[in-house]
Amino acid sequence: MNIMNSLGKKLLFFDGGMGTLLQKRGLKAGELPETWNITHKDVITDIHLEYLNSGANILKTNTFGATLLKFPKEGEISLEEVIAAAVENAKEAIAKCDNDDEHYIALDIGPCGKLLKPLGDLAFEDAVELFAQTVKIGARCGVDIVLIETMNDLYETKAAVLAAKENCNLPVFVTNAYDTTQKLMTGASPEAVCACLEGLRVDAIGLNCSFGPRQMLPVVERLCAVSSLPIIVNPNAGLPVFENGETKYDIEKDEFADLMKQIAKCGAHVLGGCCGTTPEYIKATVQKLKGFDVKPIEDKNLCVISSYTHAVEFGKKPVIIGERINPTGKKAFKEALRAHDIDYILNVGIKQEEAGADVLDVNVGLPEIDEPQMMADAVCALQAVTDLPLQIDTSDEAAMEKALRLYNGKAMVNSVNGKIESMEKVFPLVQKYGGLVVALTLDENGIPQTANERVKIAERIYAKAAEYGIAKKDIIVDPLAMTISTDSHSASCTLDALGAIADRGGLTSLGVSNISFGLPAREFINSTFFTMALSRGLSAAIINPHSTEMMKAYKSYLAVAGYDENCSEYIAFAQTVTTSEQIKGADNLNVPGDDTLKNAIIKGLKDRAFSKAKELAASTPPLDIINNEIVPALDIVGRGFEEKTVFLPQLLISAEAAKAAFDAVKEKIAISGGEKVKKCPVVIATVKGDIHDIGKNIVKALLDNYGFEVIDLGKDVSPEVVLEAAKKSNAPIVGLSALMTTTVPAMAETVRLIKKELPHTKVVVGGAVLTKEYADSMGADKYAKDAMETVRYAESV
Amino acid sequence: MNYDVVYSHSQNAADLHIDQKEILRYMGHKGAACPQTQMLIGSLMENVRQNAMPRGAFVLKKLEREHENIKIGSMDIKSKNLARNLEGCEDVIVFAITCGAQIDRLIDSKSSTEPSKALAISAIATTLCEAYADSLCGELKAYFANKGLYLRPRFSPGYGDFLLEFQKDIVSLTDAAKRCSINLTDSLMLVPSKSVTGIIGIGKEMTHCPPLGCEACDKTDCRYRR
Repeated sequence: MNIMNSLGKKLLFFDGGMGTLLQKRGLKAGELPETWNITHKDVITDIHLEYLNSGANILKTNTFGATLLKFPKEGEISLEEVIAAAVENAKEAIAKCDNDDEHYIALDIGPCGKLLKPLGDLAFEDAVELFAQTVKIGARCGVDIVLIETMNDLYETKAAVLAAKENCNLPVFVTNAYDTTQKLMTGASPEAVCACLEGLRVDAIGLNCSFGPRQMLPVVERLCAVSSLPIIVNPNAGLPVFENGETKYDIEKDEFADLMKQIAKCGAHVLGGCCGTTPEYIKATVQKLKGFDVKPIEDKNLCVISSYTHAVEFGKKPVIIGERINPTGKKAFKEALRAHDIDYILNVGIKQEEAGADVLDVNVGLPEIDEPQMMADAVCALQAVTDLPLQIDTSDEAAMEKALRLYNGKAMVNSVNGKIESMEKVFPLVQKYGGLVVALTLDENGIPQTANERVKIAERIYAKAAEYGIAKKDIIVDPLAMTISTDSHSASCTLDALGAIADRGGLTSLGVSNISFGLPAREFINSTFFTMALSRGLSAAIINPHSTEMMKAYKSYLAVAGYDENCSEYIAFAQTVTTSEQIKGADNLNVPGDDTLKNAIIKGLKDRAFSKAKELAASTPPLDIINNEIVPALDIVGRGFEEKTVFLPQLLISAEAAKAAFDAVKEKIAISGGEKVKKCPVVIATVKGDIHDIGKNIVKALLDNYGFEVIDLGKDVSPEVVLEAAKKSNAPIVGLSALMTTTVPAMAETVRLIKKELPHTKVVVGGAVLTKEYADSMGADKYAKDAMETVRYAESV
Repeated sequence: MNYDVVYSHSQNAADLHIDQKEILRYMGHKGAACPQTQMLIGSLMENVRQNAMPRGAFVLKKLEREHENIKIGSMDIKSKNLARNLEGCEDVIVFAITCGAQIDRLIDSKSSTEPSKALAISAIATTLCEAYADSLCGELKAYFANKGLYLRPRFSPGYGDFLLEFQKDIVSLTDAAKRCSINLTDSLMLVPSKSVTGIIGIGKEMTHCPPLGCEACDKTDCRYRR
């Protein structure tokens, strides 16, 4: 019997809660419910049977927390035993049940209990491996379905789905736990979850736990509106709450059943229960829904990508993809890539987000670096600080695979083209990980000169993609913008191809700036071409969101084409264009004290410091600016901090102003090719087990200001990684931070390792829990009670 | 309220009062705020409130106490400080609250590029978290006052000689992972970071409690001392 034959065609029922029933039968607080599969197997089998007799079609095995984390190899009961017993109990119940409903066993996989990085300390691949162990055992024991439930983090959900897909061929069902804001705990909307999971090709999605059926209705409606898959709803029977000074309890079974009927009418296909529900609840629900016909599954044909929080739809309002994360023609960016300066990339990304980009293109292709690793690092770092979806832009297969695997959501993929080799490389990745893939209209014969031929290539790409189960809605065609400076007809060729594809219902994208290569005042040509393309139906454009000309064209188009109700977005935009002039003026008026760079830094005026430094850089040598204005300003603030007349916030605000000044001066140095002004490298990290890094980042900002080359390893860093970085960079100083007593041993271990392998390297330690005594007992060279002390120490070394 | 039943609780961040002085204290700032710091805090308050999701879970448990040996549920705690706090109590509330994971994302997004903002957001969120804890305690105080019972000041693992290891038991007793998405790292750190757990004693008499917070702590040279 295969559930796929019935799923979505008739109403199916899950069983209800197990935990509360076990508690009633004596499960003690802290006792793992999964152990009862062995110690109280009759109880488990009886409960399963009661649910079957109440009309449930699918049993969830009593394995909610069954992973190696809760059942380690050294434990009394092995993971194998627990899962085998759980499946056996379910099978026994089915054998005993004599009604003629269809019956299936779902391997129940719940959250593993640890949060994934960057929020927590569990690495993505470790999570996949953890779930893989459970899936392998369950599949061997003979379950019919893998059910991934109660996940409140999209990333952990993805890890579990990959584990299931990579270790068995069973149908995969996913139900997530939403909160009262209709999002997952880590911020994902139902639309984002749907985009990601449909991309991963699961077989059914839905929601469970958190609250009762009434509060679930809004999320059910949203999922039904966007999903092309069967929908599963397993609510709680309400949970006890303390509200307005009163205690409130679960809802009764009849009220539950009524609400479940409403949910079925919304479009759900599989109904059951979670915490607090009992066989009576399921029975009432089954009876209430006798003879109910499910809504047929409908392909919603949505073209979407998602980040970890939200989905971005294509084919309606044109989408802006920020192009700035790309080393081509950017000396400073190439430098940053060689130095593995992730912060630089993050900054470029965040600034584009602020400028209005909807998606960020990520291209880190440079021959002399390890592109796959860099791409993985960039993607992980970006998705920790911005919630914009990303476009993975690379021709390196390994980089594309790594990025797609680690991406939290459903990504855009740039790109595939009409060459067989390209399609055979890219399509399998998109098939496995999901994605909206940019398709370039070129093939083994090069770039066609006519629109028709480009459209033909697009058609071939659609056809080949279909062989991999990739639908037209997941392909976005780039008909290639070539410069008009060498061929005055190239724009019309591109636009005609674009129009033809759009007319046939296809999505289109363009790398707009190519059109003006070789011409002066490129922005004018770019913005005109952009507008023309938009009016022919362009779905997305890769542009520089900082370009006022381009954003003018975009915002104006949206208003004129009717995408901007009341022209409110346009009006807001128009105001920013005029006020940016005014702000520069206002800054001038309100500066207290004298109008020097030194003063701007002391007062912490970031924009002022930047513009003043830029002004000075035109006439003054960089080193003079640094030594006469910036460094003295920092010294004044630093001394104030040490004397406790200036406090941490001001220290930081001034440090940021100084950094802005440095950036202005560095620009000048890069252009004129002057010498570097960096002192020695310093490696800093928050130790293993510690996931807080504000203190470390403060030290970083100050060391950076004082001219040190900071190598920031981040948080939760193991001793070996610190050692490796210290060796590689020849840094004379290593700085370590730890927040709590529990992480002091990791710090001691790191200090010991460094002192052993690199006896001449100085180690300075700090952090809320540290004292001079601790530091001395570890063998550290210095205990720094705050960031300034660290800087003074570094200078003295 | 029944024993051994976990109750969920939530609050609107907009309704919580955030004390400026406390924000400054968490930022290591003594005295009145200078204009830049004021502006920094002011520009971020709304952002923090909008990204905060105050939620919690608590359970009423019977207390067994003999001198400094305290038994609550599966917990066997040996602590002079906690024993003193719980003198005269027969029951306790064990709780876990959080301001949510979005705040951590917000801090991380500023950490590298604008550490001053990360510092401010962290301080505002910590203050908000404590304000939520106060608010929940206030609601519980009113509830038990109706029954003629009084609450003690809350006491968390890590205070005095109440070992941090008990975080595991508290997170488990309050079903915090499921109810409000609070987890523990291997190094016993609460995730999301702006989370508080603890024990609140309930007794028949109002007592004069030992000094609280900073006043009770030995570290007189602490930068953050009140």
